[in-house]
Amino acid sequence: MEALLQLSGVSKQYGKGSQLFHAVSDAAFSIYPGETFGLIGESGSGKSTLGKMVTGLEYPTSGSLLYQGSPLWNGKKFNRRKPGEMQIVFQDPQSSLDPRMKVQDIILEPLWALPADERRQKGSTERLHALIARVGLKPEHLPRYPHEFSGGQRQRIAIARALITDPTFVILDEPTSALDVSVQAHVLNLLKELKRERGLTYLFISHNMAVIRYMCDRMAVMQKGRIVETGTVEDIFKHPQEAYTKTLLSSLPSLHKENASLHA
Amino acid sequence: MSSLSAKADTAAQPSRKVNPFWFRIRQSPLTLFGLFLLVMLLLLSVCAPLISPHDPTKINIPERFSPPSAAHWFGTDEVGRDIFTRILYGARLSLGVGVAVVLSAGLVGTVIGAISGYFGGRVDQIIMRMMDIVLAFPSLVLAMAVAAVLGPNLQNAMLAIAIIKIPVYVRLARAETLALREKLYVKAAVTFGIKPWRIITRHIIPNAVSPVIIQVTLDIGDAILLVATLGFLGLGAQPPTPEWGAMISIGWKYLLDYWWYPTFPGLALFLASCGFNLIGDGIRDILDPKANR
Amino acid sequence: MLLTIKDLSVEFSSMQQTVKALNHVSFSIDQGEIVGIVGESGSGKSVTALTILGLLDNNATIKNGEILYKGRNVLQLHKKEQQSLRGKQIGMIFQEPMTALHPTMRIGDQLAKVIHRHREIAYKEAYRQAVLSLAEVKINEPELVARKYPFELSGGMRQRVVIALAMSAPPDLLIADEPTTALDVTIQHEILKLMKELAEKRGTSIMLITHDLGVVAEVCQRVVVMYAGEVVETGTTDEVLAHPVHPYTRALIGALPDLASPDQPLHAIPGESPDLRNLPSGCVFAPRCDRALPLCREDHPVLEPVPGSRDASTGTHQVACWVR
Repeated sequence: MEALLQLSGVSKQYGKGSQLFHAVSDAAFSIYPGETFGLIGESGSGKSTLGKMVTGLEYPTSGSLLYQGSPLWNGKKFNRRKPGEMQIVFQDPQSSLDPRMKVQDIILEPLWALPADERRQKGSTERLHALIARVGLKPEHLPRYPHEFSGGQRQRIAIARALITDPTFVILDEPTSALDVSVQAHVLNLLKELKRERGLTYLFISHNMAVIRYMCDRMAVMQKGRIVETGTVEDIFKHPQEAYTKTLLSSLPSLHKENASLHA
Repeated sequence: MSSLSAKADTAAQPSRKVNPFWFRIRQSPLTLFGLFLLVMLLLLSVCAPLISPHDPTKINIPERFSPPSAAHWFGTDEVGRDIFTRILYGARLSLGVGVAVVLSAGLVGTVIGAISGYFGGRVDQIIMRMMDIVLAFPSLVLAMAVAAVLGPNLQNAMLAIAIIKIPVYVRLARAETLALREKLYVKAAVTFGIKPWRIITRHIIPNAVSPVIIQVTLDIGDAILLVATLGFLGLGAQPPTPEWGAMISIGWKYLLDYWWYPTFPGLALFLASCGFNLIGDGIRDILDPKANR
Repeated sequence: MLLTIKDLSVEFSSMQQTVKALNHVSFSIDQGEIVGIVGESGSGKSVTALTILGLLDNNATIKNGEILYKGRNVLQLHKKEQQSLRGKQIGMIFQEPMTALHPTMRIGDQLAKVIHRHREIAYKEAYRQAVLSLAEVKINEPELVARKYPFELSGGMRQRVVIALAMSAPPDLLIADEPTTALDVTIQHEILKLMKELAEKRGTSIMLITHDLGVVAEVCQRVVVMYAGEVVETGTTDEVLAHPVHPYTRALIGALPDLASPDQPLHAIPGESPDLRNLPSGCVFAPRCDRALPLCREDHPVLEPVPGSRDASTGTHQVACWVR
């Protein structure tokens, strides 16, 4: 099977000389159609920078990112071959939604990157209503502003916005870390259902091992800009190879006191 | 802030019924007073023909320099025109000119500033150096120079004041844009592939508008003063147009003998600029999230 | 008991609306005990801490109840007394360490100043003790770190400094509000371990406010579960986590992806989080509860000991629920 997204030797450096900082060094992995690929790491591990390079916010200083076989970056220029193919849901729905835009305009916004006829077709009222119903919003929510919604509802708005263009590939950048536990459960369930219904491929970026384990098929562990371990979620959780992965796993606070390493 | 805040705990609650804007305004007596002043001035100037039986430009030599009386509340000037009437009609001009000048400067400046801040690089360099040139001159001197070159009339005075006001808005909007460019919703729009012009008009300008509005309200008072100053210097509205600055300009020569002549237009000018400043301060307190109590 | 909260109710009023942040909250913390206060946003866990510390905003009113600290009602103390209580006897740690640190003062000086004031010793001696206290929170090369500014340290290091600062008095009670939420998991683990060790060594009690049941399981002996400004369940951590009785506690544990099978959907709690301006007259959780009886919507349950509990003899496991 051909990879949907293929990264090889991807590096990102900031600054120069003695100030040189390697945010990402020589990262390589492939994401295949229909899977959820987890990218886990702590702050400063480079996972967000990697996400930015996939979405076009930061260019790689070296290496190649191929999407469906064609390069995403030409030097510092991002190639958006088919706008709307790839979408993103950000961590904090509070700041990823423009406070001065109505929910309807927020959800329809990505369509403005599409050609006019496609925009009209995908932005039809029926389609919009079906989509918001699917993510658990109501038509009366459309003329309201983001501040009138709770965090979970805002993330539903952000998910609807990502799906309006009918993408194949969705990048989820810590989509639930700003949410309460009970709300997180709703959002994770929704994301799983949507993936199944629409045959989506996810890149799931998170620092939460439990969420990655629940959501992903394969995963990569990042530490200090490097990918230290890649494999299926099951393998990595059962037989972690690297010391860092083991540390991450043992730091996971467990509900069962007997297992918590503090008491070991 | 940490989560140790009662506000954070209730922030997720949906909207409130009371309009917070009016609620806050009602809590600030000074802002209310400023609002009251302006509404009064506006009403008086709009209803001028109903309030005063006099014609603002009709010359009536026999009654020249009459002191304030029941017939002429604020007295008359050197050709017998009723000063109260002239102030009322002058208010239309001064307020209108002040608002128009600042609004256009604000609009033009915001757009330039947003472009400058959003694109950065060379575009930003060129625009900002041009603004520095304008800011390098004392505003009044530059306004005088522009007005003098273009010819002494009200339109040119307005243009001159607008030009000297633009850099303030460019800087303000640029600073705001630099902050907004880092906002997640702007980055989100970039990842969707939205064109820069649409991002600027849909995201940047609507969100950069609060500080601009504050600056506009604070500047209107200043602009009215500038119009009056140019009028005072003979570079603004020409006689017999009833304009506060022009009235003060002619009247101050008679101050010692006929105190009412420059005093009342001056008082009107003072109240109007006071009103706009009070409202500007009030709006700033309301819109500035850091000033929230 | 070191701290006893009895029947505490707090309201916030803004724009002609009343937000009932706390409703008849009661719990206590014993000397040397680590108690976890768990809840989601809007549960009132942070408001409880602010009330104890006397740091509520002006728009808050304490409607009811008392907070007894070593037998004295904290709510009746003067501002001055409250202040000295805050610094000397009750230490505080917040989520964001930078809010507790002076940005332009060296770490050593910040600590020394506080120690100098609390222990009434010479500044030089206070500085020496400051360096020692840095070593105590497991900071390597404490002399070096003492000469640094807060911005030169990582998040985990800053939180260690804040802990040293909070423990400097030394306090009898430490209130920690989400102390590890902003930190990476591996560092979170170390900080929790450190807090636990220090508390055991000094006999300090800790009131640990968190949204994370995993954190509670790691360090707390007892847990107080809050929902919509009320205590819905309390008991020893082992008992509450292993045998939760209140439907909300059960749902909260069930909503965690930690133990869920990836093939099954997570047990999400239906409905929206409660509107604190308009709480139901019966049980606050009834609108979202899958086991609610008609009684639950009419009558408000109060905390009562759980009959069949392992801790039945002591009555420490209590729940506010009609459905048993």
